[in-house]
Amino acid sequence: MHLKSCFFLASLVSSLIPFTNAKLSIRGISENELHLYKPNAEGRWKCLGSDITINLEQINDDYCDCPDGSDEPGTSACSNGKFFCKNDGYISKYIPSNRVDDTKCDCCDGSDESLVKCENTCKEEAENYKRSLEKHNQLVSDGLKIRDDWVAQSAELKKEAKKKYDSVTWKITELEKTKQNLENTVKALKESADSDSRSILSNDLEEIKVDLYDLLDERNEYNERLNALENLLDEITLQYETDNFEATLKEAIDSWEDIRSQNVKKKVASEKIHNDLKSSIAHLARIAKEEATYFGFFKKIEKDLTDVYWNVKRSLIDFGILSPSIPATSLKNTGGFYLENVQSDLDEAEVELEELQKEQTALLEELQEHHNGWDNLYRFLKGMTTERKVGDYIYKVVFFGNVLQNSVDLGNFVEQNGNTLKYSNGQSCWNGPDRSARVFVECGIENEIVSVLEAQKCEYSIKMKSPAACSASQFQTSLLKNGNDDPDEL
Amino acid sequence: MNLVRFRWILQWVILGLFVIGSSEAAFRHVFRTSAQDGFAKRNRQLASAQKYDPNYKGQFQLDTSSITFSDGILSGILQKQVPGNMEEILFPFTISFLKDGSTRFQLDEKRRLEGNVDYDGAKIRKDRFDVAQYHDLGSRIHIDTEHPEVTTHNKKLLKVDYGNNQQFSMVLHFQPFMIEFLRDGNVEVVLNQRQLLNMEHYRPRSERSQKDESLGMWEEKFDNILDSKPRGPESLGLDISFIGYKHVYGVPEHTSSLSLKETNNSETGYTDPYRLYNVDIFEYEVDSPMSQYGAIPFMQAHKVNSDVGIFWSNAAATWIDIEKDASSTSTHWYSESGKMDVFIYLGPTALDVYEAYSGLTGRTQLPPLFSIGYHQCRWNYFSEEDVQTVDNTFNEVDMPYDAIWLDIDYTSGRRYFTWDEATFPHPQETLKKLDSNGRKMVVILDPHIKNDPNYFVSKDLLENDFTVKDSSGVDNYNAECWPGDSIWVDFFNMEGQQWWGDLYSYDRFKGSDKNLFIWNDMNEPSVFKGPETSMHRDAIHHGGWEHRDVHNIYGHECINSTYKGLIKRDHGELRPFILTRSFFAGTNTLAASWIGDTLSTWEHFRGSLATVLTNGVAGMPFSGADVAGFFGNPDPELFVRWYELGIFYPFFRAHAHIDTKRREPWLYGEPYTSMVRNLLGIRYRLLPTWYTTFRTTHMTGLPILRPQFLVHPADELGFDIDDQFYLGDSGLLVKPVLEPGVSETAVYIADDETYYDFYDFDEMKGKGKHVVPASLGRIPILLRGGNILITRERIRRASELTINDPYTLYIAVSGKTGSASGELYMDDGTSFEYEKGAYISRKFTFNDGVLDVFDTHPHPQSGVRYAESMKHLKVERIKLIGDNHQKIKIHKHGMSGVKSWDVKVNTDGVVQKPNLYLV
Repeated sequence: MHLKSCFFLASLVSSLIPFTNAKLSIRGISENELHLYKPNAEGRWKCLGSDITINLEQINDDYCDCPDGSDEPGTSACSNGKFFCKNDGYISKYIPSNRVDDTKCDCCDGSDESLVKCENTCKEEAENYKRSLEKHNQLVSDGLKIRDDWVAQSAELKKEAKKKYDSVTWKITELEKTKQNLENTVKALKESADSDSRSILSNDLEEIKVDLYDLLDERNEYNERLNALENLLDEITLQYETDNFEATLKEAIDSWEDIRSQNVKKKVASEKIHNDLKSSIAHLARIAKEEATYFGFFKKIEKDLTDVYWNVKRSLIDFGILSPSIPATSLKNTGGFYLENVQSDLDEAEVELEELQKEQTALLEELQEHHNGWDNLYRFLKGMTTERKVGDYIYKVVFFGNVLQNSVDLGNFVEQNGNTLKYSNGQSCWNGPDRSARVFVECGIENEIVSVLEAQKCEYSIKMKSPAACSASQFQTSLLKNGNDDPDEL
Repeated sequence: MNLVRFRWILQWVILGLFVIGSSEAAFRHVFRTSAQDGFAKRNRQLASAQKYDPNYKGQFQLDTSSITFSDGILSGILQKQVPGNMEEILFPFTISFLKDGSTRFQLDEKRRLEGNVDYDGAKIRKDRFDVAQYHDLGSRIHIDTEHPEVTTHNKKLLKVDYGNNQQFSMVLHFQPFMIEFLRDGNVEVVLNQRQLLNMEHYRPRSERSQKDESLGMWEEKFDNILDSKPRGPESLGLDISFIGYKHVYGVPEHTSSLSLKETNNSETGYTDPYRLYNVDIFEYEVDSPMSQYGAIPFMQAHKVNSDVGIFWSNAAATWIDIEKDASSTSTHWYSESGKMDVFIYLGPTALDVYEAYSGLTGRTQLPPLFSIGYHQCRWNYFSEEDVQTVDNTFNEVDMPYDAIWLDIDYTSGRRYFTWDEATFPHPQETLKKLDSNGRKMVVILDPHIKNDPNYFVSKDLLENDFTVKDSSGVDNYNAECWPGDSIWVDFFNMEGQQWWGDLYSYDRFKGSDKNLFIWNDMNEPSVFKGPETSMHRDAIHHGGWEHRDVHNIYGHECINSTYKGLIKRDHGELRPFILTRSFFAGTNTLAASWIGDTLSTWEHFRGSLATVLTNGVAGMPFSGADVAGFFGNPDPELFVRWYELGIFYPFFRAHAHIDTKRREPWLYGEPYTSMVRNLLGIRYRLLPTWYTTFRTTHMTGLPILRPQFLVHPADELGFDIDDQFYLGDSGLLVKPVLEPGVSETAVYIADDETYYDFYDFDEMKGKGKHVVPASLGRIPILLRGGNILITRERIRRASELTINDPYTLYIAVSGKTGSASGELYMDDGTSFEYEKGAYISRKFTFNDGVLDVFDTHPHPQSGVRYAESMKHLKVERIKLIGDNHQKIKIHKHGMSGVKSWDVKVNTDGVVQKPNLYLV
């Protein structure tokens, strides 16, 4: 770069061609804005952003008059002004006023510099722009294709997950039923176990015994009443022999005699029953007592047998001959009253159920989870690992998993925001915070770690490329105008 | 960056404490006290004996018959009687009278001068080290053969009058031996008034005694490291008294007060002398005489309207005791080895002292313009992308900066002159991008070299045998530093210096370019686990010098070598910029420095100001502290306050330790970001004033930041003020806020001139303290009446991009005379063309409504071509402060006469577009 021989003044003069001229131009202004720089009736001009008016000569006179900087679009006099680079052949843009005439070429047409000669690089820039645009769009297009494929695979995985979810749900329903049954059995067993370990038979006998004693009590009562009546009638009979009601009373006495005779027969039978019952109760009680002893014995044998059974079962399971869930039910059916067995089956069912429910919840979450644009990729991306050696370390990024620096955990996935994945709560830093990482993903045709930066202690910024981050909105249309049209303003 | 993170780590592991914020240095025990330094102990004992032993006598007798005087040099021989020695030991001395009005006292031992000593085959020199010879001072020493004249010579004394007007006298007293220096008949400085003159004579190792051991004469052990001391005791010492002076300044680098404190005094809290021994000290004590990274054995004494100075030209470990009585100050200097070489400056003004002293040791470099801007550093910017992001963000947030810095981790495994291929694969592209914004890069390169046969620098260094050697004189000095096992470049080998310099050439330092500049750190030299964090004193340098002889100039020679390399790199066309941590007298000619590893605490923040002011007084003015402290995370208040002061550090760089949070100036958010943006704006607006000030310093040796005592040399109340300062001759008085929680502060005004507030032009008048507003983000700045302040109000992306911009003049008239004046210097900011006259120099005076503009170029013709190319340079605005003229007249004085015109002053006191072009 070198200083032009006629620099500043010359350029200032040429920048303000009188308004009488048909084709006006003001340095640093686009043609679309030229109309804003017309004088008012008094021949003065009002600043665009305030009511201050100035003489026309004060526009671009390298002295800032308007608070909004609008009077100096073509110089660096105002700190808040902007300069329009026309950039014919490329893309127009505004630059801050403080870049005007600072010896650095900021516009490709070089219009921002009057002190040094700037090459016009617009054509070259446009070519570069076109090339990079094409490249970019091709990349997005290729990336999208891969992404579409991933989306399809992800959908497939999602379908499978749905299926799995349904199956788990069904299994849970079934298992819940089984669990209910087991719970009932356990309840019943627990209740009987509560009644001092007696058998159902002895229980029944007890009931019979109670009934029989009741019956005996009742009979004793009747006996007493009958005895009283007999005594009465004996007395009447004695009186009648000395009285006059002979005929009637004799009849009554006769019938009573009949009844009494029958009652006497009954009494004999009742006493026989009484005695029989008494002896049979005693017998039953004896049996019940013996049975209680046997129960303890059986219980012991049952326990031993159960242990053997479980050992065998375990071995069979270990050898893969049995599936773990089968034998429990078969035993349950045969030995329904063995509490421990049933309880262990119930525990097992509960564990299994819990696991299934967990799986179900996870599946549900996964099926429902939103990942801000990546939800239709989630199934496919989850656990996908990208790694690269940067400096002395191998970095591993696991999508929706964690980030590793060699074996050091830099964080676990916590959230996604657009194409940025946040990982936190990694391994704690000596003399610092827990490690954390942000993974910024750009559209690419494969998963690739571009750079890793520990911008400050234990906080990592990782740049990645991945088809996952591609979207149709990334396609760019050229801002270049065809033909000789004026370029758009940016 | 500092001596090692491992110490940092160690500290926490051992103490289990987080000591940021504490003033206790955790590693004090790493550094010697004077009692742990044998020679210091011996010289201090001498001082005690002199004080308490009524029979004390000096060790030396002057052989009066030996005295001769010719051609400006007085010579003689001192004799020392040693018990058991039949013969007296002879010490020739000279007193030279120099053209700049200064005097030089030199003393050596005859036997060692003649090499008539035996060090049992050790591969070391026999003579004492002479800084002046090595340091190229010799070429700047000119004997005055014209003025000095013996005016009295009798049995008791000899008197020489000297100086341009015979205004100075030197009186040599024979018995006891003592030298007085007089100005206009008054004694100002006395050498050996207390008879502490000492120079330990040669003695064979075989004659060592039991007593020697207790005095640390031979082998010494410190921190479990043995110093073999093959030459035994060889220290030298001298008392220097400043008569009538209660204030002495200088002898950096310490974090102490500007006016130096008494040592060995319980009142000041200093029990040790000020020490000069360059060390990698971190987390250092604030308000302490402990050594830091640099050493300049220059002291200035000031009393009302009178200044004198001393330069103790010695590069070995040195201690300085200071004692004061009611009216005077006596100092006691002692060094471990080397010749005795003392320069005495008699003023009478500070400017006289600085001109003469800097004439000897060298004037501060006129640095490239960019280096006066704002520097953005951090340990570390880790990749090209990181650099790019920071660079772009400066543009986005509309903040200027000039250079981004890379600390050690840009290299491939801390192999200097290489780039990490993964993180900096395209350094040249990065440099180009920076250049498109007018910006530079500065990278770190340290003098320790990774000991790695596959590393080209290491290989080359070993093959050429340019390494420092251990005490055997044969094997390479090997120790740990940043890269692990390292070897050191021996800058005392001139070929080694050239080799190091050549490493900076574009073809050797691949990836470098014209906008890449250099930071040499760890050049004390810092050695991990070395004695006092540095090199073993018995390590051997080229020419047979022990490290002890040259320690304090190792860093200087490193920078010297780098400077020459950069000159060569750019064919002498571009001014180098180098930052150094270690320095010695004269390093200012080559580089800027910073004060090392501060903590982000208010204490260290406060301490930084007196340190920077002291560095300036002692000739290392291009200095600053890391903004906002190196270790730790400053809160927003400290962060902003540190930027407030930072914009007035001559060297203005943000830097932070790797363990700190990111703190680029926008990261604290609003309102702090805007505050920092405004502060950066002030630095950049004032760049013309800064550059003019650097020029003045470059020409005169005056400090850039002027303490109160320099600007108001008759105001005794200001002699120990070190919390406010003036910026050069600009009339700007700055009173930084150095404590938390305040919204106003008191500024001390030393005279009855009117001062104007820089922000709103409010007037202040009257000697004494004035309360000024100082809300966060607003550093109190006053403009003294009588000054014309020159600014550029357009803030560009970087300094160099402003050089065509118009100026604004702030004419702050004197409340007494109604007049004002100011000066402006400018050149291309990059090349050495200014040496050939390619610069513009103007003086503006304002008097009674007339602004006179003078061309003050001493050789206008030589500047014509440059001036022609700068014809567009103009003044866009004149602001009158304290003046009510509605119209002023401008007289522009040129080679073709005076051009005059009138300009209108608007109601705001502003002249818009005065049509004033500088050329």
